[in-house]
Amino acid sequence: MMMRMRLYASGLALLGAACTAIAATPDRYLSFVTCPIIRDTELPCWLAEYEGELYFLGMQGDSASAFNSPQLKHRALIEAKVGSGERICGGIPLESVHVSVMQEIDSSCETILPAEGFTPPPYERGPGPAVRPHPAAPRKDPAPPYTAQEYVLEFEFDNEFLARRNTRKLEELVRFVELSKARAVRIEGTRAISLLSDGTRLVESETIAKRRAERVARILVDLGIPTSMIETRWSAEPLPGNGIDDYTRRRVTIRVEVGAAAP
Amino acid sequence: MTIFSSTRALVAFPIALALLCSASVASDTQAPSQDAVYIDAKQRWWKPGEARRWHESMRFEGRTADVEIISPDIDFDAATHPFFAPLGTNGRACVTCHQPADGMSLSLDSIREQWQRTKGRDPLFAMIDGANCPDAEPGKPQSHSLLLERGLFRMPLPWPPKLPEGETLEFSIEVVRDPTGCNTSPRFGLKSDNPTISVFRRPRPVANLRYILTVPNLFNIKTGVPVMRDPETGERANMNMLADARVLTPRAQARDAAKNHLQIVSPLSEEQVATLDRFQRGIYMAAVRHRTGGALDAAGATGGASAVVTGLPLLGDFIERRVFHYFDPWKRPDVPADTAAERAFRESVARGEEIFMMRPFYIRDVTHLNTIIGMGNPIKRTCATCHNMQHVGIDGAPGWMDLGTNTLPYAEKTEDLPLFKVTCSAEARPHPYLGRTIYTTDPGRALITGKCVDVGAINLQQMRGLAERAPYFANGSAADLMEVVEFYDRRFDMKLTEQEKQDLVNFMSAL
Ligand code: HEC
Ligand code: HEC
Repeated sequence: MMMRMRLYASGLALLGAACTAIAATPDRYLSFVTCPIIRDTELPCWLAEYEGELYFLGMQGDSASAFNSPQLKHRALIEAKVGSGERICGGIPLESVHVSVMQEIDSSCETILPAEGFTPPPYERGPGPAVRPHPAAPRKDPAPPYTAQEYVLEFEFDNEFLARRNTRKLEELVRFVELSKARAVRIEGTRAISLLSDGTRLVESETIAKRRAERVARILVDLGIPTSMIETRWSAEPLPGNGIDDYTRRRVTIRVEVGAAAP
Repeated sequence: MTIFSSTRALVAFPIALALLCSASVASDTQAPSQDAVYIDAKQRWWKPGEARRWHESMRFEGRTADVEIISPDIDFDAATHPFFAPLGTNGRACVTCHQPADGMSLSLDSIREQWQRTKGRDPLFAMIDGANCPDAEPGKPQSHSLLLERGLFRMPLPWPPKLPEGETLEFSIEVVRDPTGCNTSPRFGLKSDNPTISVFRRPRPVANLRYILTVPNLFNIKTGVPVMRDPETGERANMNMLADARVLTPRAQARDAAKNHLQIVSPLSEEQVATLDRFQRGIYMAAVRHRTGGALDAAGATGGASAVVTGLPLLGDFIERRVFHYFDPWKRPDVPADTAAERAFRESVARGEEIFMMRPFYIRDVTHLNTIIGMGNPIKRTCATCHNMQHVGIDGAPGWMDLGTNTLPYAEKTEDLPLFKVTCSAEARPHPYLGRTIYTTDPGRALITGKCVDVGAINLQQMRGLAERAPYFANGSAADLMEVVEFYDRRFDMKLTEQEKQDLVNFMSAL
């Protein structure tokens, strides 16, 4: 199984390379590990330097933000596409930014730049409370007929912590299992390599795929899915990196099977 | 002087509360509301077993602020009720450490008064946890120094912790300094037959528990896993009780407290546990009148316990839905007041609320706040980011965080507390800001989870009745509210002006 997955993944990478070749202005991807920098604008901006150039990562957010603010005292793996817009807070904007906080402390990561007259782009939530509560999005139960579903959870580099977007998916999954009277839940954890822009291959630790899969399995059991329904596996080998979408291969895929088992 | 026009005191108890209470109690709340019963300072100490009436609405004369208690559960005899009766062998009751006049906690002033009045013989000072160590010499103030100087009780916690299946202990612990002698004691210490870590903590208010016990989310955003279930009922628990959430419900806490604080011989009966559960959940408490500021529900303000009774445990970290919105009417010019001092106080409280909600500063290196995915380190925010639940100011999330009150380098006034060295194993994830070697006076949540990331993490306390229950923080390191504010000013380099500090203090003393 893992064999097949790896082939599939490298196939994708080839495809990706082919596409970039024919595009008019090729997309530029960056992948690097560095100390993040914060700029003390009214709402702080997060920046990072790579090869002498300053890049804008995103604005300070909150637990609902898509952008995951980095941490001073820690280096971060930044994986992103170079954007085309105007500079923001002094940095070239990056798009589709994926931040992974490195676990070990690096006390040299402590740069807070002054605002220097920069203004942050317009924002909804300033450096304080949100304006008003958003009504919770109504949850819609999936409607029959029920067919097999796949849920994909992506992780930070070398981390098994489940961000809120992932725990949301697990809640949906549990509801689907209940409604569809699912037959089996197959969990598969992977670990991956990040190909950095300087050619370095950053490899996730050996046990991380297992830890991811087991953590998800434990949560599903806690949420009421019988252990007997759950099948858990993980890849021993790291999936290869391409420096473009490496963050998609640090994942847990959960397949929910419904209906009678195949004969 | 008629201070209390409290006909409005008893608004109908909300449905949520009625549901929590048994039918008979719920019907009590329909009784016509009476004026609050005023209890003056001479009667402020509630003695275990005393034949004394508990009323639906009471106001306890305070040193700084009068505390209001509203409670539907009144139909009992305090001499035998399990919260008030000395059930164990040491003469204590729950009320010994959860005094109504002290905001259902216990102030250092009361502790000292009891010491003086009884020459140290009050059951409060029982050696089991009212002394620096049970093997200290009884009757000597030095043997009770942490209680007499910081208001701290000893919490003996088993080492190593009993972890759930599949979890591994991530660190080892050594005693670096042991001023109480209890952690190195051959009978009670880490190397005794029952290896124990003694940490020293303040009592927490037994009030407004409907808020403390609310479970806003299935998942704990700080761990990325679901909040735990109460083993008794299977219901999810919010994990906001006690400094370390080691106990999940008032029922379980009642049993635990009866055993450890009251030293009862045989366990509480199921009926006693049920009575305690119902009673604890029914209590609402807040400051209602301030010595300088006068009535906290005057001139349009809605301070006092009634608003807590009718309120809902919602997130209050919004400009349009604030944590404590009671004093908005005091923000207008020329607030009505009887004296100039009263007016100045009210204006200060209103400014203090504004600072609490809106004054940004960099929150930095706080585990389980800065580490929440999406937040970042540092994050420019306000007090209300952490103290975010309406009416009580806890963190609904649940609230344990390493603010720095008990971990070096930020911890202050640590000399008389035990100091532990925590060493995290190389395989474990390090503490995100303190690494793998941590010096702490109380490892907090980590003594329950065995996780390095939890070292120093303490659950936020609620913010009601603060004026009458100094000192503050779980380790009593802030002697008064000004010291709390100054801790934050240093810790987060807030650069508050003296006026801003005083405004925050006045605001908090009006809660
Ligand atoms: C000797 C003093 C003492 C006595 C007696 C005592 N407590 Fe406590 N109580 C404490 C301390 C100290 C804490 C905080 C402990 C911690 O944070 O680890 C506490 C915390 C609590 C809390 C948690 C409140 C919160 O919101 O976190 C509850 C509930 C409670 N006690 C109930 C009781 C009950 C019920 C009794 C009687 C059976 C009782 N206590 C007797 C000292 C006492
Ligand atoms: C990073 C989160 C955070 C922020 C921001 C924060 N607090 Fe706290 N607060 C806590 C934690 C955690 C505790 C419990 C710490 C302990 O007991 O050791 C606490 C405790 C307190 C207490 C003690 C209550 C008691 O009963 O002992 C007060 C008062 C308080 N905070 C006021 C404030 C004020 C005022 C501000 C803004 C200047 C503020 N807090 C900002 C996390 C925070």
